[in-house]
Amino acid sequence: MESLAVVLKGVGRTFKNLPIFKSIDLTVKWGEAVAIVGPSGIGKTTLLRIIGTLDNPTEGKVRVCESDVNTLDTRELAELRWNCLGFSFQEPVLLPGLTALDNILLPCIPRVGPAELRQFKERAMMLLEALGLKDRIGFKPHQLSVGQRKRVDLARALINSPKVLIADEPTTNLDEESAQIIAEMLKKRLEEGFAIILATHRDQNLLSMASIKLELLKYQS
Amino acid sequence: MFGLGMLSFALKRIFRSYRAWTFLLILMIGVATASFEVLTPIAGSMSSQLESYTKFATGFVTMWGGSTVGVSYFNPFHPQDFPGHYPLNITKALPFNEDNIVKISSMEGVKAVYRVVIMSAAYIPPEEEQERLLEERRKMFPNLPISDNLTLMVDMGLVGVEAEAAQAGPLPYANIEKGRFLRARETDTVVVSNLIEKNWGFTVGEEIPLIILKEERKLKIVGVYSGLLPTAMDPGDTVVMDLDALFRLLDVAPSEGRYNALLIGLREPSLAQSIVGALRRGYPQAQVHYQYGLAKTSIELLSSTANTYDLTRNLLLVVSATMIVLVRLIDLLRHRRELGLYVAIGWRERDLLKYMLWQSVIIGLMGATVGILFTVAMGGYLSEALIPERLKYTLIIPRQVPDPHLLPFALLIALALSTLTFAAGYLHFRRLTPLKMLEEA
Repeated sequence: MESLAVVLKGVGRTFKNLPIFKSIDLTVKWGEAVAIVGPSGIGKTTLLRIIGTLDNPTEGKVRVCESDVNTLDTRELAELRWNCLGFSFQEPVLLPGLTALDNILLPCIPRVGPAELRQFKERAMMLLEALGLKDRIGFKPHQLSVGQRKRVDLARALINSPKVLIADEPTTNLDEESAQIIAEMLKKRLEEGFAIILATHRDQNLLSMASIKLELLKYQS
Repeated sequence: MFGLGMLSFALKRIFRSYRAWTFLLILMIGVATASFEVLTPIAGSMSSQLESYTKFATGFVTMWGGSTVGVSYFNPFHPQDFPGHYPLNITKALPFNEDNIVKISSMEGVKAVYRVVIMSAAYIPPEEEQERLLEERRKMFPNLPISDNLTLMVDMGLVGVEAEAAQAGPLPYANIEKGRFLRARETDTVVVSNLIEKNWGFTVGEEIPLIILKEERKLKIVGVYSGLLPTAMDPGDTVVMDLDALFRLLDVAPSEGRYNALLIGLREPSLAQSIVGALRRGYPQAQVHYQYGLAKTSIELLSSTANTYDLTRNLLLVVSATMIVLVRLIDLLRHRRELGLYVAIGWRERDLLKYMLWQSVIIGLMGATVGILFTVAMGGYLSEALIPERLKYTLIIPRQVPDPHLLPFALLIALALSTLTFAAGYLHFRRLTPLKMLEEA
């Protein structure tokens, strides 16, 4: 049987007894990108969080990297997040007081020893360079623009070479240059055979790379 | 395995991002540690004084008479015709003999009579002290020509007691601060008052050289006590030794021994007044005291002060602990999103626990350091200020602030308080889902 990156079967989510979405089926192969589109508040972020194992569906089954997410305990979920997933937030969550480099290395701190950490540092530098932030390595979040923070957030999501990258509106509210750089980075990941699931409004760059477009519509009972 | 990486990360986070909260926590742990370090030895010392003083006051009558015989007048520097040189005749100089003791022992209500000889012996301070002493003398006697070549001696109290009296508990000499009390018929060993330790630096294990009958005797210190007796019986800078051993040093046969003070143990404190009355009538030259009034006032003052300090310390610990938990919870609430991020990027529960534990340990150790440094800097002043004036004139309250013996306990308290911060964080974290944590606090 062919290995799949993400499988959703009949996934639904309600919030305070009000359904946000229902019966979503989705299959994502390796090297495929999925663009989740729809108006604001429709549940794009919620769906991404469910795929990213940060939220639980109220119905249906979720499989990510061949793991049945519904049956995993907290320890197994943490392993899945470290080994398979990368999550780039809609609003970048960077820790104040830490430099861009330190923020990118956050996932590695409890996982790797000093020798391995050096390798991760080199990788973080490469990512920062690829994202056009080579000269911002030692900058702290408040010294970076929104676009730069978003790129640092993306670099952190990519530091552990995730097989599945989840990016929530990665180019929204960004200047053209930042949006372009991020889009190129995502394309490169796609070419390397990784799966990408992203939410976007109408970024043509991102839409053009997606082989699947999942449009969420307002749920009508 | 990667604990050190987490330690360095926790350090970075604490001092770069949580500064205000961290300093508040450190300060509170510091206050708790300092209050423990300052108040415990003072309250403890007061309580121990209280214990001995209570026994002493309810069970003993002190009786003394005659002047102190200065055995050091026979010092090697005085010529035979020196006016102060006179032959020591203990039989003549001291007022109480065995007949008196038999008589007093047979009085109704008397449990035991312990013999005491109070003398003085010279101590020749080392050269480096001589200059200071000369300077003091010159200031004291500005009109007296004092030669630079003069070697000064200091009179120290030399007291012989029956070591058995210490077993009875009430003897103030049994109020041992360091080391132990004398053993019966132990030769060349002494206990010294804490004033000797303070003024001259002699302590347990060292030898104190005293001039006794022309000869310098080196007496080994086995204990340091804090005195409770009136100065007539305990002259301050006092060296206490076994009575028989003292007589041997003075070449006095025990059968010829005479004494200038007695400690009279009572069977029943209610009989004290009648016994004191009888003793005063029988020995009009002697000073007989049942120091009930002084004892009662001191006991009450000691008791209430010690209790107040104990209560204050315990309150400070409880308030600090409560505040620490609250501050930590507020702190975590403010940094909830950060914890959510750690979960989202693949940190395990044990990684988060390790992170929070390191934070707590760092905060605890910093708090303990602040508390101990504060105690070192201010302990002397505080301990002086915390002892009521009235007690200062009636009792010596020995205290060592900070007390090195209490340091491990202070550290334990700081770590226990910081563990509270850890437990508060952990319990809070356990209740939240990653999504809840990621929401804006």
